Amino acid sequence: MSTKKIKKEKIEKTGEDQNKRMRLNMKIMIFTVVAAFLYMMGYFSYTIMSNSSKWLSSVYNNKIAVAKNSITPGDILDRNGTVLATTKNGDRVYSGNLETRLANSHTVGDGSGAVASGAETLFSMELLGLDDNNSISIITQIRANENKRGNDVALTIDSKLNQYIYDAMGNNKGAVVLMNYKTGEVYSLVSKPGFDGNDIAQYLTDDTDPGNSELVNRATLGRYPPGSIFKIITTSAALRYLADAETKTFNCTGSVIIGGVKVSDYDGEKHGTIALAEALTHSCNSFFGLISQDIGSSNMLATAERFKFNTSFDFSDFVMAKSSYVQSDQAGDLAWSAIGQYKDTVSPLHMAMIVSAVANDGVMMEPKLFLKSTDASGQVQKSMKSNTYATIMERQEAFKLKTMMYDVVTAGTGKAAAISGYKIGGKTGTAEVTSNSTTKAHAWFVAFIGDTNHPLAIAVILENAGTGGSKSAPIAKKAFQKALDLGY
Amino acid sequence: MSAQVFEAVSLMARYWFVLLIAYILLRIVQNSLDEYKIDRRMRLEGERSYVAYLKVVDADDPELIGLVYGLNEFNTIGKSIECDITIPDKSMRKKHAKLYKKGPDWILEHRGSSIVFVNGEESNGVTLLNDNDNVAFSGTMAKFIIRRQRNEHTKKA
Amino acid sequence: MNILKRPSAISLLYVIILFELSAFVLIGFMVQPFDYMALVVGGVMVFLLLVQYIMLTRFFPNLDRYILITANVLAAIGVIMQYRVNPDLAYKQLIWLAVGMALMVCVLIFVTKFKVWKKFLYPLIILSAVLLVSSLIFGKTINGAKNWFRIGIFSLQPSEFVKIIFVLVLALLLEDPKTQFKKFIIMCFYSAFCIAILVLQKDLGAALLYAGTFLVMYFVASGNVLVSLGFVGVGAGGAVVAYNLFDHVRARVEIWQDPWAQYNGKGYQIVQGLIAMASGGLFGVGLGLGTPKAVPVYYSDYIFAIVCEEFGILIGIAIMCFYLVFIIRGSLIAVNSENKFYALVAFGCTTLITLQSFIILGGVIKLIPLTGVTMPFMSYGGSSMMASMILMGVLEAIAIQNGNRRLAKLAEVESHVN
Repeated sequence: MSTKKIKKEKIEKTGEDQNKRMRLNMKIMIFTVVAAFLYMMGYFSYTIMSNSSKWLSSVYNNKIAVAKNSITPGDILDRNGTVLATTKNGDRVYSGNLETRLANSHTVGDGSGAVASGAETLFSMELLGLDDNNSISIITQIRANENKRGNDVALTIDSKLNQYIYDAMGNNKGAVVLMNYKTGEVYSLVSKPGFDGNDIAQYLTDDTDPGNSELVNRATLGRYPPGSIFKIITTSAALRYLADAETKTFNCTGSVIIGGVKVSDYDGEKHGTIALAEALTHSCNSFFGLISQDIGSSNMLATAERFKFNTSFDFSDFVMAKSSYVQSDQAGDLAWSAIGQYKDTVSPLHMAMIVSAVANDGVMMEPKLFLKSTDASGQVQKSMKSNTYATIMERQEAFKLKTMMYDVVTAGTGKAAAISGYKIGGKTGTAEVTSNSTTKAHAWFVAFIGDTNHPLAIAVILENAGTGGSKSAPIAKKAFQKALDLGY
Repeated sequence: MSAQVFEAVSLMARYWFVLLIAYILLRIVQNSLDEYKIDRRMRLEGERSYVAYLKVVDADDPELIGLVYGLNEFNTIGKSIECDITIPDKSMRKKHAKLYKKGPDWILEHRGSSIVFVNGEESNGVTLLNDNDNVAFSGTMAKFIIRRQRNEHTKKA
Repeated sequence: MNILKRPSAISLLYVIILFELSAFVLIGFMVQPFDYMALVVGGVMVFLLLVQYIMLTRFFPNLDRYILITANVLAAIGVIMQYRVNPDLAYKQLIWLAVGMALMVCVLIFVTKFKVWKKFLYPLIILSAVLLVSSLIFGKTINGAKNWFRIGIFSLQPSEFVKIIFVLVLALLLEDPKTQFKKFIIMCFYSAFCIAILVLQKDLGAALLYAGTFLVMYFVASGNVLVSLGFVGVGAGGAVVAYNLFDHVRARVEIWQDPWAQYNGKGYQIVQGLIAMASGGLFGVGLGLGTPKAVPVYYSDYIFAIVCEEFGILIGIAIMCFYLVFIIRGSLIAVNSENKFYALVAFGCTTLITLQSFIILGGVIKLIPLTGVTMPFMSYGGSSMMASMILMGVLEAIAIQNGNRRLAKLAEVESHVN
């Protein structure tokens, strides 16, 4: 055979080999695709089957919207019976007073679905008299309830308290949550600016900035940097992971360099040589920045997660944003994260739950908005049941924290919240928002009353208002005072 | 049909639809698998050359007439797809007979329950086959051809 | 040769016809006393199915019947849902179906006859580039993606049609083991160009489709794992860049992770889709008893969600299986092809369908972020249907060629005997 023929055969042979390899590759791809599709089928079945009950009873189900056409929703009342929302001639109307409407807007919600939370949507089933735990299908129930009236729903909140607090916040944007740390009942939840339920259309034009609008519930969905109030979590981490947490001292000179990053105290204040309790009382950034290095980033993360950061909340009464704590191995980032900056975010309701847990010996209760529902004849259908959400720290730890927090109010940055005759524990926070010095920090204050007859806890945030001690602590004091006056 | 009746009917129809779709899917998969097996065999067959062949000359199913099957050294013949030589004719049994080479000889073997005729005479269970013999498996008739030598081919080509 | 009779598909067709007709009869009863147009539409569907099947298997016995049947079943489910929601949609879809089938046959015949692909490499590259660029410049923005043309009353999506040209170009560039490097460079530039244009048009789904197809075809053709992984890296890098650069990419990832948080905004569609699917349970709520209009774009991208609502999750899984059947059979056509070019074209076409169905199914069930691609054969829409039909036509053409070649080989062996 001539060389030409040999060459041709050689090329054909490699061509054949190439084709064989190509076929093999194709078979590999086929196998991969089949695996991917099988995985998809599995994921599909699993995710639908396991989530279906949650999604179906969720507020977004359009069956509810359809039902509203034929069933008259019941009234929404506050815990004292004041009517906050009712149906007149087929239209949903809210309290007559504008101030009342604005103050209660985010707890009452909106019947047309413009806001994702609030009683109107979260308790829509109950308002229509539908029961998803019933074996009779929702569709059949809707038919049965046609042209009838649903149930009245009473909320845990006190509308007067809401209004008072809304007023006290002045021109500041922000949120306040006041709850009972033994039962989890939320007595007040205010998000300012609120919206007017009787004229929701004004907020729905295209050019409204969704981040800043009145329709956002800042108390539940606001994700703010916590600033110094996060030191509660850092203190808890120190108590748990450091044997000498309470005795260890650092010398605060107004600022310190950690990992090449400067951590400074407010106004450069020098606290001298102090230990943990004093550091919390005076909210010393240098101290907490330094002690965070001893605690270590993974312990910090573990503690934050124990406090339910990075957890998706799945409550029936509230749609809450997830709070976040991001672990970093950079010393500088760790230091800042320990004082509530870096990438930490938290919602006001979550902070209220945290401070409630501290006050409640470490037991975090599930926040409740639903008090009870009654049918048209006045018979009670459903009542609130308190529910323990999680135990986030041991009794001793909580006790130590409480003691330190009392000192904050008696001798430290939270003096403006003191109420004579009551033991109040608290923590201030001044959360930097940007490095731009013209933008003011968020003013935080969280507190609790150390009295089992008045088991109140509060979280206050005023956006871009300045320091927590001077701006938010007075609001908390007023809120507590009013609540006590009203008998809580 | 009123709304209530429609609802009831639709609810029942759900199971009906699932049943139909399930059947359709299963049949498609089943048929595809069968086709795949056939195509695979066809592909392999096309690339081989055989020592002998069986050519169908008469069958219940007219589409089978004229088909040529390549024979290996050992073959099972029958209607089932499990056989080496699958002749899907009505009168064939699932596993009708065995045809194999022993030394220079070709032997056709079958169970008593299968009907086999060679050149018109009924086989009793074991028969020797020669080139150009006519074999009948019940109602299916085929011609047994031993492959010719190479040079005889090129003459024709 | 064990030339076996292929198992008959006739009984299967009967069941499919039964399914279609019973569905349309039930839909007919939704209107008092009875909607006869539903039966008419059902009849037309059945007619198209039979005509297609009988004509094609008669003229092209080596046709891959099951790809045809599977595509028809998917299209049927699509038309059933479309009619159930809005008869006008169904009427238009039938027209697209018929046109698509005709187009498929034309493409089929064309591909079996046309042999001189190599000469048209550069014209094809230029054509596809022109089409993509023109839709970038002249296109209208619909649903956030600027890739539609309006011609009279019809809207066309050029990127759908360019898909097949893309596959052809890639196959031409990949088939030759010689002159590798020059072709490799051309191929990279061409693909990057196409993908870039699509990203600029904000048609992320199509961009993903093209990128994935490119990657798969390259890997299959060259077997070069390192370079393929390199491309995967580039793709991943590109995705990260896009995420950081483009707001709408970030938005999509956010609503994928937690659509409920943005229920009032961009997450609405995903949430409604999930609720619709969950409402269905295993067997569905029943045809005609669901609320399909609650789901945005229920007629095309999200048609899977409303099918699952009314027909149930079991049938949803069956639909995934139908796509899988199509994919596997298409891949087998590629594996059985004679020369590298046809094998690559077939595999490329199959990959387009694979990726498209995986991307949209994955997006609807929140496995991956949602992108705007349609369900092949099921979605309402002329461009989608025609593009899918063209792909099927090419696949069938190659299958027929494979079959003919096999028969020829067998005939050759037969000649030994006669």
